[in-house]
Amino acid sequence: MPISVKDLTYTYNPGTPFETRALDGISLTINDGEFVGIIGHTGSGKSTFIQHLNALIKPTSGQVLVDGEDINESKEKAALRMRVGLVFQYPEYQLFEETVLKDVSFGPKNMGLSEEEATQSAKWALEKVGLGERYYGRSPFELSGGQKRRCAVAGVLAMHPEVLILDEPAAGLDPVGRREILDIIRAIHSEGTTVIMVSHSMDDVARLCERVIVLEKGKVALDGSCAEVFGQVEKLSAMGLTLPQAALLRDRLNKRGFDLPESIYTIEALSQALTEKLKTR
Amino acid sequence: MHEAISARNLSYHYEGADKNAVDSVNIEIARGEFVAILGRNGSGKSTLGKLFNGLYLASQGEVFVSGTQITDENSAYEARKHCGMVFQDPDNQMVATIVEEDVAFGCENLGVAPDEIKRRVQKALETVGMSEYALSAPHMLSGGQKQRAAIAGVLAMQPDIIVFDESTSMLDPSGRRDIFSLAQRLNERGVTIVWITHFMEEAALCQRLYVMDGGRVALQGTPREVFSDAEAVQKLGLDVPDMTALARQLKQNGIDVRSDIITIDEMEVELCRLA
Repeated sequence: MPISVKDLTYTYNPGTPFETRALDGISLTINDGEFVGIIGHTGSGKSTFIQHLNALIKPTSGQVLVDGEDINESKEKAALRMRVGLVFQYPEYQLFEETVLKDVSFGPKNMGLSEEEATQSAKWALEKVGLGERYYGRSPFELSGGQKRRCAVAGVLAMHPEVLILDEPAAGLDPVGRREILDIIRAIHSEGTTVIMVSHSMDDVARLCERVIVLEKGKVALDGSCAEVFGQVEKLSAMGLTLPQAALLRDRLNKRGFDLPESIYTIEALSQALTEKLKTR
Repeated sequence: MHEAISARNLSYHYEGADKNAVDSVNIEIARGEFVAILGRNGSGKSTLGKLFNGLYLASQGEVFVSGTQITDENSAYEARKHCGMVFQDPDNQMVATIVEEDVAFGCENLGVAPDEIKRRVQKALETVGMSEYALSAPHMLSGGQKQRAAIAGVLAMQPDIIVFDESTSMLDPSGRRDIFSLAQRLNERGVTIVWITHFMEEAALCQRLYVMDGGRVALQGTPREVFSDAEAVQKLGLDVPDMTALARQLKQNGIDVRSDIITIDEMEVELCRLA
């Protein structure tokens, strides 16, 4: 189920002194099974962009096509929206039910599933995020920070979205919590779900994503594979974005004559290339 | 002269919990130090920070802040004059409707004279680079700006020590750099900094680290000492900085690289030496 946006433009507070064009003529397609990272400065339009993809925001002009259909014009809008799951930043703030199982069942129940089907879906989703049976009856508020985050992600997974969008899924977690949530997202992607992840962490994007879209001032500044985008050192620095540590070091070393491939952006690849280089001497 | 912070067999027990959140901790932080406290969620590092600021009172043991032992509400109030605290969520720390009033809030509670408050607020806003926002509404500020305003509020109370409790964890990379370098600048002016964090790259730039686990101090030392034992660090639920990880991989591949590298600058120098 591909998602395309065509000439997507969105203006906040139109006609007031606070008028801001958050998105400015964005056109792109995200295909089935992709793992896309969206990066950009705060205020570059990342969050506004992803909220358009499941029709939480209606474009000022332009279109959002989900599976070829304009999501804002479709008669099946509600059904289309459910196929695109959106996990907000700090989603654990939205946990509200008495028990973990009830909280995760809430979405599928709202989709019109029977009590039993909703519970089945919830159990399946909780399994995916590593919260087994012993957590079903607990209050979501008693969970640790990382567990709460995973519970909230399960609430979206329980609706079986074909496209999963996450806004800063690892923000604010400790290193173990980060690793857990990112491993879960990686596993969900490997089972066929399209994943779109907004992140400030270049290292997380470098580790997980295949394609990176860089937004700046509401426009697409760069769009390509990790290797292509993280090779554009000058452009990224000019936008005030940091590189993944490995790409940054590769760039510094090349300025000192190392001649390493521009396509290196992970610690693993860098250590391999450096080993070859230093061993042959 | 007394230490900035000194804890002896310090313990704290949350009501109803089955064990101590902070458990027989001994810590000495000298005046002018920049010390990081690390540890996974639930390791007790935030609780420890709150004991330094008198927000919590010790269940057992002793804690001295700028020479004052915190034993009750009165001494906690005294200690708070010396030790300010900046929290994690920028949105949970603003109490007034304009920045200037928010910055003045702590000072007003200390009973400082109005003229003096005005002077201090101006100075504090200047120090954090927020003078032009003195009359702004807090909700119009970015996360990083809100944290700077919160820091100004602490500075206006003229503390000798500031505890930052994961104060960069909700900020974007530029906001994070901004707040960390502000803390470094304050430290250069003599303010003792206690920096509680999950970011190993920040920890690598501090003078000394304490790693907490299960309420106890599990590791301590300079960043170089602590991160050199990657296995111990990972066992405690933390990562090593990327450059330390790279050094380890190179070493495993038979490259004779220094194993105590923690920053990208050091790695660059080392690799140039080897090439």
